[in-house]
Formats: sequence, C-alpha cells, structure tokens
Amino acid sequence: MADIERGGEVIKGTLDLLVLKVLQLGAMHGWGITELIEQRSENLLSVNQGSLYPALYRLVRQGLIRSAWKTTANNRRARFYELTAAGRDALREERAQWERLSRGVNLVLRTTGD
Amino acid sequence: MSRSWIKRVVARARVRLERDAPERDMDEEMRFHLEMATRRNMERGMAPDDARQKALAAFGGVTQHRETALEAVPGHWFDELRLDLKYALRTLRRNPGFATSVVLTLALGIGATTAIFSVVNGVLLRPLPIRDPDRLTFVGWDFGKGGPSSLSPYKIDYLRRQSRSFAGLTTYKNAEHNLGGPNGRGVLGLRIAPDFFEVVGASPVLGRGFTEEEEKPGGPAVVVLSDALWRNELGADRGVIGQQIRLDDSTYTVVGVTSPAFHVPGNSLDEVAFLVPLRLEIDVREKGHNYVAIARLDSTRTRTQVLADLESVSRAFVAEHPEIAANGTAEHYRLAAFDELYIGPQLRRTLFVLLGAVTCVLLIAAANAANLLLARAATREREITVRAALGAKRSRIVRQLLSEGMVLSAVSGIVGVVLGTWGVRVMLALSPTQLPRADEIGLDHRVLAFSAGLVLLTGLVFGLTAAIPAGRLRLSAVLGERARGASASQRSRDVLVMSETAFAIVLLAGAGLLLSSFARLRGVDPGFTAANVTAVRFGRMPEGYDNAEAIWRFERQLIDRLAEVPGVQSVAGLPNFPLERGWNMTVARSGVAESGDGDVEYRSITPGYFETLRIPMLQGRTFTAADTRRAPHVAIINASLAKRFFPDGDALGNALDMGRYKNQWFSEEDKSPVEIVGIAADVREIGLDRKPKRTVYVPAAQALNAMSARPPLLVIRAAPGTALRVAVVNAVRSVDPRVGAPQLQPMPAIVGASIAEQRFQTLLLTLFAGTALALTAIGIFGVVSYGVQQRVREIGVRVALGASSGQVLRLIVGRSLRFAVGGAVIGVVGALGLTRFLSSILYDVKATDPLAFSFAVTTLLGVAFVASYLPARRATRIDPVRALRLE
Repeated sequence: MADIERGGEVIKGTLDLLVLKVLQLGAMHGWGITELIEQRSENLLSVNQGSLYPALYRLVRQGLIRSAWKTTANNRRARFYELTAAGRDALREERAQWERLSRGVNLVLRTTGD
Repeated sequence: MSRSWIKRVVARARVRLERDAPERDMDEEMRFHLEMATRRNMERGMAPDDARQKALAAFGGVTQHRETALEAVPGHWFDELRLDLKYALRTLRRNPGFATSVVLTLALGIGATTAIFSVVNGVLLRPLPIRDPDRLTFVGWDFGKGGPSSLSPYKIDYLRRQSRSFAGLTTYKNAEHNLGGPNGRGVLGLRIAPDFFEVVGASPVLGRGFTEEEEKPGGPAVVVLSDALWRNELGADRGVIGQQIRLDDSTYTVVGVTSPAFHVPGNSLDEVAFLVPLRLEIDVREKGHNYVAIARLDSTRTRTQVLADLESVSRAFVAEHPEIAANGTAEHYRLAAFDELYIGPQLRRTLFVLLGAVTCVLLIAAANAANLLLARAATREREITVRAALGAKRSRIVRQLLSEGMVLSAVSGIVGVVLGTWGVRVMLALSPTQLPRADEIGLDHRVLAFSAGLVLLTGLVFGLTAAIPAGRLRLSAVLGERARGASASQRSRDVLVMSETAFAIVLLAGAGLLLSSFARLRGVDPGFTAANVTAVRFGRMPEGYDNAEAIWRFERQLIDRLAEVPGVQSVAGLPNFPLERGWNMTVARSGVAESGDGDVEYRSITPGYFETLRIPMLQGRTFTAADTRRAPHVAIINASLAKRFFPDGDALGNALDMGRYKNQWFSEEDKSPVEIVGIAADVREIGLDRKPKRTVYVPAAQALNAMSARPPLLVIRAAPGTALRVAVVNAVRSVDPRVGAPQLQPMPAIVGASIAEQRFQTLLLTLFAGTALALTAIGIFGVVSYGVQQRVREIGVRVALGASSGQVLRLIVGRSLRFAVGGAVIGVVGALGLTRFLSSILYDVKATDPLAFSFAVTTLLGVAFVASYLPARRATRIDPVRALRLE
C-alpha cells in the first residue's frame, strides 16, 4: 500500500523507531501516529496501516509501549499508546544506532559520489 | 542496560496479564482509524461516500490487517482457537436436535467405556498402596496343576531356612471374631507373623507393632486396631493404647492403630478390623495350606536369580519330603503377583474382553456421530463453499469442522464420565461375585486421562471424517448441480457403514459364543436333582459346640425331628453343598500304597444324602443308621474313583486306606482300612463346567474329626408348598434354643449362583452387542435416508423413465447391503482372530463355532436389510413430477 504520490514507504525496521519517537512527544492513538509521522516527515513518509498495527501490538508485547482506552478531544473513544520506561531506553538505543547507521550510509554515499 | 532489561520483562509480564479480548479491541481501534481517515478526507473537500471509499482503499483489506495484527498478539493461535470454539458452540446451539443426538450417542459410548475402564483400572492397573510394591510378592505352592495355593506352616519354615532370595518372608492367616463379646458384631481380622509390618512396610501410626514375647505361645493377648475400627467405633480416641477390648471371650490389650492407608495386599481382606499375633506352629504333618506368605525380594538379586534359587529350594523340598509332595517334581514353590493370586487369569481375561467389546461399541457410536456430522456438513455445503469463495482458507474450514467435532466430543465426554461413574455403581451392584479390590474402583487421574483420551480420539476421528470431504469441496458444488450422485461425503458414509458392520459382527459373534456357552452350561446335568431341595446353613454355634461330637449330636437330633415334619421327604447332613468349596483327601487302595491319590473329594454325609439329592446308586448300598462309630468303617465311592482304582469292576468288598500316603499316616485314627459298600454315580461337585472329581463318601458318624467341627449344613427334600422355614426354626428351638435360626436357600439358587459369573459376563457382552446392533441399525438407517433425500431428483428421473418400485428398492437397498456385506466379511475375519481370547471363558463351545458366527452374520444382515428397506420404501413413493421440479 505504498503511497507513491506522497513519498516513500517507511523502511522496514525504522517504523518501530519512528513510533517510539512520536510517542515520546506524548500519548497518541494509531491514527494520530500515522498523521504525525506524515506531517513531521513533510509527507515524505507514509505509514502503511497494515504494518502500523502489528508494529504497535509487537511493541506492546515487548513492553516498550503500553495502551489504554481514552477519550479524544472530540469525545471519541480511542486506544492511546504511550512510552514505557523501557520504551524510552529502547528509543535512546535505537536512535543512537540509527544515527550511526545513517551517518555511515551518508559517508559512504558521499565518498563514492565524487 | 540491565535495568532496562528488567523493566522490559516486567512490562511484558504486565501486558500478558492485562490482555483481554484483543480481537474486539482491534476491531474498534480499526473502526476508529477509518473514521478519522474519512473525516480528514471530508475536510479536504471530498463527498462523504468518496471520503469513506478512499479511506477504505487506503486502509486495505480490513480482515487481512486484522489477521496480520492478531498474529502479532501473543498467543494468537489460542485466540483463534477460542474463536473457532466459540463459533462451533454457537452453530451447535442453533441446532439443538443435531447436537443432542450426537452428544447422546457419544456419551453412551464414552460412558460405557469409562465404566468398564474404571473397573479394569481399579482391579488390575492401580498400584497397590504399599511401599515398593514391585519388590513385594506372594509365595505360593504349585501342586503341579497350575495356580499357586497358599502355604502350610512347614513349607513357610522350610523356605525361610533354605532360600536366600528374600529380604523378608512373612505370613498371615484370616481370623474372625465377634467384637465386644460372643454376641457382638462379627469382624474380620488377621493373625500376622512377627515381621509382617516390617516386610509389608506399614507400621502402625499410633502405638507399635508386636514384640517377640507377644508372638510366643502363651504370650500376652494384644491387638492392633485398624484405622477404620478406631475411627468408627472408638471415636478416634488417641488414648486407646493400653485399653482393653474384647474379641469373643478373650480380652486383648490395644497396642497400636494402623495407618489409614494400611491395606493388606489382596482383596479378600480389605476390611481388616484388627491384627493379632500369629503363633505359627511348625509341624511337618500339618497339611492345611492356610497361610498366605508375602515376601519382600532382596534388592540385590535379579528376578532370574530369585527364580533359580526358588527352583533349587523346591527340588530340595520334594526330595526331602516325598510324603508331602504327592506329585513329585511337578510341585514347587512359586512367586505369584498379587493379582494372580487374588484376581486370577480368568477375571483379567474377562475384564480385557469386556474393555475390548465396549471399545467396539464406542467406535460404532463415534461412527454414527460422524455420520450425523457428515450429513449436516453436506447440508452446509453451500455455506462452506461461500465461505471458501470469500477467501477463507481451506485449512480454516477444516479446522472449523474439527472444532465442532471436538466441542461435541468434549461435551459428550463430560456427560459420558457422569454416566460412566453411575454405570460402574450399577454394574458393581449387579455383579454376582464380589470383585477383588472393588473399593478401589472409582474415578482417578488414570480414568480421567483415559476418558480425555477417548474424547480427543473420537473428536479427532469423527471430526476428520466430516472435515476431509468438506475440505475437498469445490466451487462447482454451489454452482447448480445438486444431483451430483455420489459425493465425497457419500463415500465416507459408505466406509462408516462398513466399519460399523464389521465392529458389530465382532461383538455379535462374541456374544453369540458366550450365549451358546452359557446355554450349554445351564443344560449340564449336575448329577443330582436340585428341584425341591432346600439348603440349610447355620451361622456361629453357641458355646459348647466347639467339638465334632457336640455338633454331631445336635445335627442328628435335628435331622430326626425334621424327618417327622409333614411334607418333608428326606433330610441329610453334609460337609459342604454341591458346587461350593469342598475338602480333599489322600486315598489309596488298601495295602497298595503306590496307588495313593491326593486329589480325592471327601464327603462325610448322613444316610439320607443320596436320596435327598437323588444321586443314583450304581452298585451296592447307601449308608444306613447301622453304620455307627462302632460298626465296621465303610465308604461309598463314585464311578470315577471306582474306574481309577478298580478298573475290573471289583470295587465292592475291597477296602481303601484314607489319609495315607506311601508309608506315612496323617492321623493315627485313620489307620484302619474302610470297606467299599457302594458305588454312586458321578456328580459335578466342584462346578458345572468342571468334570466330576473322584469322590469318596463316608458316614458322618464314622468321621468325627477336627474337619467336621464346624456349623452343620443340611439338605431337605420336601413337597412343594411345605412351610419349611417355620418347621426348621421350631425343630432347632426344640433341640437347643440357644442355637440361632439358620439360613434357608433353595438348592437351585446355589446351582444358579455357581454360574452367576458366567451369566453376568454373558449379560454384559450381550448388552454391548445389542447396543452395537441398535447403533448400527440407526447408522444404516441414517445413511440410507440421507442418500434417498439427496437422490430424489435422480430417482424421480428413473421413475419417470419407467423404473418400477421394485427396481428402485433394489437400487437403494442393494447399495447399502453391498457395504454391509463388505463390513460383515471384514468383521468375520476380525472376529475369527479375536474370539480366541474368549476361549478360556467358553464352556463346550469352540471360539470359532460356526453357529455363533452364522448367527452374527444373519442377525446383522437382517437388521441392515430392515434398516435400509424402511427409508428405501420412501424412495418408491417419490412423485417424479414433483421431484423434477425440485431444483
């Protein structure tokens, strides 16, 4: 379900990182997570719902996030996800790892570009 | 790092605890997502319908997401299973008639199987509640005729002295006393050897066992009480130690109480109330093999070593004591497993036969249930095919049908176990013989595990039978062609009919064999006439009747009084009733010591005996009042003994030595030979299914010894309608008012009781066979009815094209009978292989008796014919016009 018009699909494995990052900003429901990722990436990234919810349940299972049913600003019931302490640790680790990886990738791309 | 690891584990654990109904949450969550997306699209100016369409499109297949997402939830397979089960339950609730008939069919099968299995479990499989039961064994003496008997004191002593195989060898003997005094309740107890507690491994929990001093003759009278007696009669008073209780006329000091789990190996003594010390007197001349020996095997020796040791001890014994071992080297010591001595190979065999039979019934029941499920699966073809077309995976559909099967069989299992526990009680109540270890029959983990296994197996078997053809369904099935003739499920149904028939044949053949064996057994001429004979039994005799003389005086006076009662034709005293346990005696032709025969039935009787039981005299005379103690000692022998000792027919006038073997007399009094004055016809004294034994009769007046010091037994022949009970009670009172009223029993009842066990086996197996036959009939009826219903159109066409109703009948019945005959052939082959397990419990019938087999085949095919004819007749009434319009 890639949305080519609006940009690339989220790279496999980075979705967890993005979800954790978005949730660091505050508790959020699934739809909000999609929206936030798309907004913050200036529509470069889109999230496939088919992988978002499995990812959310996986993270819940791993104990990195937890969920609770709450009421939205529009008075609708929705399941909100928030980071756990373990999730914060994991976010730090994965972020560091991602930065190392992307710096490495960028360095390689730059040198060979000349 | 490690801290975050711990946090993760804790968080994960919490998730597992909090998780509930994930699939419902998920649905709601996705609905929310879709709504939000739709709203955003509308904000961007789309029409509501478009907005929703776009959102849906972006979201993709809801079901698919849901399933993928579900798989990410821990234990998703469990939730799927729960869904399957929930769905299965819902479908079944919507078809209560179908569900009830399946559950009832299966529950009956599972119930009956559970009942029989719990008997097998309690009697044969359950470990005995004693320490290290594997090393504990009975030691018996084999007289060279098979089954081991108990031991004589001398044989126990000899084994103790000579064998090195045992860590301990102990013995006990039954004892019976009246609790609280001579008029108290009769209770059963044991006289136990010094080391009994140690060898069996069950010391008293309160107080102690016996000391050496207490084992000696003349030692203090002490008793250990059973837990049950202590609890029920003494209010579990812990101060009971040191108190006195009375058993008959003696006072005993209580020194201990057994543990609640105390259990004497071997059933006959399950209700042991007390234990007193056994004072074993070792005397080589003491012939009674009345002592049960229990040995604990030395743990350092292998079984082979033990057996070799026992064999050499036996050989030494026979060589040393030829006067005791009449059958020479054929006699030997023998180890006997507890169940061998107390349960016996016969009962073991019977129980396994019954278990096999009831399993056949269960299989037939399962086949019928599968049949119902199949028929319903076929009516659901449309639903299933639609589901398949909508993308449900085939495995999912098969799993769905399997779940239904499992749910059905689980419910049946629960109902069945309830029925089974109830059935066991009914069966034990109906059982003529007290089953060994009957108190241990009941539900335990083993029975429950067995039933659970049955449930799983039947569920799987019949679920799969239904699911496999459903899994093969193709879309084409819904696209019109209703009259596809033989569908995949039709083939499964035919197979079911065949297997049902086969199982039913096996059961019918078995039941036929038992029935014909039982009929023959009942038809056996016992050699005496039981009709109009009443057996009279006295219980404990009052004080003063502790010797043969006193009892004989009482008996003779009573017989004289009874003979005067109007209606009484003759009366006789006897040592035991025919077909009940008797006595053995060593007998030889006088002066011919080598002719000694140690296996002769011995009957000391009063003169009216042969007349009362109408046993024909072949030669010579019966006993008369003139055969008194002082008169020359005489004997009557039966035809078998006469043939053995005097093949030339010169028995009359010859003499016998009684109680003598080779050069050894067992008793001084018996030294004078007895003269043979008559020959009586053979009687089946020891069982209708056993050949008459060689027997010697002596006048009771001439045989007053320790053997006859027991409560008297009488047989009375009286005209029908004689008020015997009143007459007997009055006669007893006039002879000695202290003697309690005896028990009266018609002689035919004793004859009936002697074959009650066979009657019960026959009844059970016939019941199973009948059930199997009924289930098979129902099964065939169902299959044929369903087949007719499915082929209405085809039959309509045939009728329209001129087929006669006879042809239609032949078409339908023929098909069903073809499979029934196929099943019958398989069944007969199977039965030929299986009925040989019955041969040891059959009397005068071969396990391959052609009559029983043809009975089984004809009955079954007859039933199969009727069961398919009835629905087939409906087919002949099909109106072709309506049938063709049906589509």
